Amino acid sequence: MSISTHPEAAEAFARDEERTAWHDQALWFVRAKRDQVTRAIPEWEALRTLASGIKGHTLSRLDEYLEEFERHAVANGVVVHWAADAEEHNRIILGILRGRGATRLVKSKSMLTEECHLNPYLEANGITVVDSDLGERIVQLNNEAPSHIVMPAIHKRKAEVGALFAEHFGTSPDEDDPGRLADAARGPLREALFGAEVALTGVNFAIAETGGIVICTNEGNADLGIHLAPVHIASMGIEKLIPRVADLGVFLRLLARSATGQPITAYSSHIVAPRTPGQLHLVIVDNGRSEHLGRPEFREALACIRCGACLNTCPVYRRSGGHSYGSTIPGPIGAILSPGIDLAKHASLPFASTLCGSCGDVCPVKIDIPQQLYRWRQIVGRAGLLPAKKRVAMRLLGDALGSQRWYERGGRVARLLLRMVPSWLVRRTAWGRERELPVAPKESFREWYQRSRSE
Amino acid sequence: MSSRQMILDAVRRNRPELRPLPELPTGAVLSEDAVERFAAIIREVGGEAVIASDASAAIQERYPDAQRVLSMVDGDAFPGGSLEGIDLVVLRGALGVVENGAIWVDEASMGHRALPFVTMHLVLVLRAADLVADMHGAYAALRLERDTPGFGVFISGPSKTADIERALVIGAQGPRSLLVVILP
Amino acid sequence: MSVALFIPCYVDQLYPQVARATLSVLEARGVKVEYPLAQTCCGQPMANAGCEGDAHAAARRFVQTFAGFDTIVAPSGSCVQYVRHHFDVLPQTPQVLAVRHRTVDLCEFLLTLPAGPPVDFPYRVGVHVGCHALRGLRQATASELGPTPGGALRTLLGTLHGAEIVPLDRPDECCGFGGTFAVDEPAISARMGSDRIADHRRHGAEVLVSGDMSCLMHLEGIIRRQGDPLPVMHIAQLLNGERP
Repeated sequence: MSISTHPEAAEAFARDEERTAWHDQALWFVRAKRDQVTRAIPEWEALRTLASGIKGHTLSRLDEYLEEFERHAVANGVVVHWAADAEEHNRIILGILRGRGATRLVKSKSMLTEECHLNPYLEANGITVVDSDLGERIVQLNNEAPSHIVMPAIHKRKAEVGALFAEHFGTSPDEDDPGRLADAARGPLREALFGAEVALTGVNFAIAETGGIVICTNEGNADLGIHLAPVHIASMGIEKLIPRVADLGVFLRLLARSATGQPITAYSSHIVAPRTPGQLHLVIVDNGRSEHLGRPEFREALACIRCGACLNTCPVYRRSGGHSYGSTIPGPIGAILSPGIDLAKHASLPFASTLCGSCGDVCPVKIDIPQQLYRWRQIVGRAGLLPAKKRVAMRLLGDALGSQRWYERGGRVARLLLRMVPSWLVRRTAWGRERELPVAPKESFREWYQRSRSE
Repeated sequence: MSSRQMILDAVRRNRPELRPLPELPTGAVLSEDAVERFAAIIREVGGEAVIASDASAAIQERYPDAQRVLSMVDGDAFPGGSLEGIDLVVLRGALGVVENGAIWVDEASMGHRALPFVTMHLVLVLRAADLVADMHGAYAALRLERDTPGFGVFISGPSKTADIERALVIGAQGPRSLLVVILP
Repeated sequence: MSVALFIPCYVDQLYPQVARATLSVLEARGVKVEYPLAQTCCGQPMANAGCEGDAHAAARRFVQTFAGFDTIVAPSGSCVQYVRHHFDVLPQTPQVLAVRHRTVDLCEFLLTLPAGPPVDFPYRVGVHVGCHALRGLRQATASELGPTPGGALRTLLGTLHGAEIVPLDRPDECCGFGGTFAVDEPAISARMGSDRIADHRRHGAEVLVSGDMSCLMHLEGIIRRQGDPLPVMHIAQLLNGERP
């Protein structure tokens, strides 16, 4: 089985040093903005604790909240569908489209539909899909997946967007002004939105006590789509539930500040009932989430509100780009969610981290991401998915370090080897490609201690 | 078995032990300079804000060239016609949030749900008396769990994007500008 | 009070001068320190690599070796963090709990002692608080949590005459070492390291100081490959009166 692992893909991204530097700085800027706005909220840490508590409670009674949510939604005139997996989700959506005789779908941003690979499925079934979020449209036109859950095209430079828009929107190939490029996309996107028969959105929060959903966006595309099209489909994972409307007070204060450093998104749309005339279909998707709920060490990750703060702060993500993760959700949160979906495929992701811990500190719902990364590493190890070389090395190292005699002997041999190894050989090791080895001393501390302190 | 039942059964089987639902904060009290702070944050998020007792004069001054204008401030119904080519929509905001410049507009005061989004420019008129300090206060005042509109939205600034090299562009797919008129 | 010294395996073998400085600094403050020779390693290298099972022998040895002491001091925030947080996989006997609780990092421990002899250190210092000391032990305030880092390492540097801490664009960005991460992801690891070094150089650091030699081993390796010298030192060496 050949699978591209994070180290290889990351190295390929980082080879373009200029792009890597830009990517790192662009995301660091967002992190710094987040720091600044959170400091204006003295009760920030208390809010994180509250959010974590609300999500933790909801997950502990998720079945009841799902039923309560459904009951209210149905009473509001919403058509509720349940999808056990991605395939069923896609089939339900195609069914709704076919039922309307629709051949086109406009979508606003939804990581869930990325997870379900909805676009290729619909296209294979003769449906044209238009992603109406600017960043999503850019990656769609470029036949790529989003590389960030909030800024889908953050890996693209403006000149690349310019070249893409020249091809699709007829702008000058030299145009690289973000304002003029965004403006060039505005016309065609609005046209698609005005003519939409069916509009699909994701869901940020689903409220059990009202049966309503909340969608947080900046561009206006989601609302244009759903208020103009006769049919609105909203796709949501089962973990989007919160008990009370007033809980939104906590989450809306946290979400945009964590995500982009905005005090709130331009639009926080509360949709409870379909407009008249109109239809609202809600597709509630499991796709592995209920199974993840059964993993005590990892279930906390289902509290994620997809703000992307852990991506922005992650020094590895910033330098390796979202595509290097090879998973729908990249970055630290992706590295703890994806192994639960396919451990073998994503075995390298828990190791795509220095365990620096910053992701856990910025998480607005206080998911202990570093601890989960560490625990996933052990699962990967126990499943026999580590590279054989590493497995053997760790076994030998563990044995040597478990015994004083072998530790002392091994230390002497290691120091001797370090002093002897020629520099051409050093440069062929993973350590020595860009780093020198430490200069090994003749005498270890313990040898010195025994010699000088024994009398 | 239906997918619904399978999902609910799996969730029930796998859910952790009950954890308590935390109490929510009731919201901070309004500061003395709430109106100025509200206006300042609206400017920060790319909007404009004026404090004026004559809303129409303020709107006329800011948008003298607007051709097709729809004003819903007096509870008017959507007069019909195309949703395209609207220059200016004027709506009444029910409540404003000082911490983030967000203004609550619900379905009843929109005429048509699409109006705040299709228009080229949006004006929201809000009474200074309808300000709350933060989102907790907003939800406490709106009581959406009891008076649940089919649709409502917090609007904070004009539509915007930063999807190309993170450069902020005001006026994405939605309105290119937002003017908030605060009635003293 | 009985105090034991834990010298991390790689410090023992590769940086004996740092271990000697640690011992000397403690003794200069009147602490009677024992260095039990039965010690080897805390087990972190294997566990972080996903081989917690292979770390157990070392961890058990650590507990047996240090069980009788009131305090176990180690010149490494990273190892201390590992003992405190990850020895939870061992059976939680009173012995294990005591060892977890009593293991402290040198920087924290020194702050509980009377000040040592005065030391001059007239250099512009680039501070590198290792991530495990920073977020694992909360020895300083991480930049995502507050604007003023403070912390044990900076407090100790503040006791040196003439030492000037240089400001950085990113006060606590990770150096990229990360244990086996350094060899699992060499490209990203080295990139992080060179970015870190560049920040220090840009702000005129004359010496890079940390409480963790593991970060410094990685950074020093990159600095030497770059061929533009910038000395790295452990805080114990500074407190011991050594100069770059």
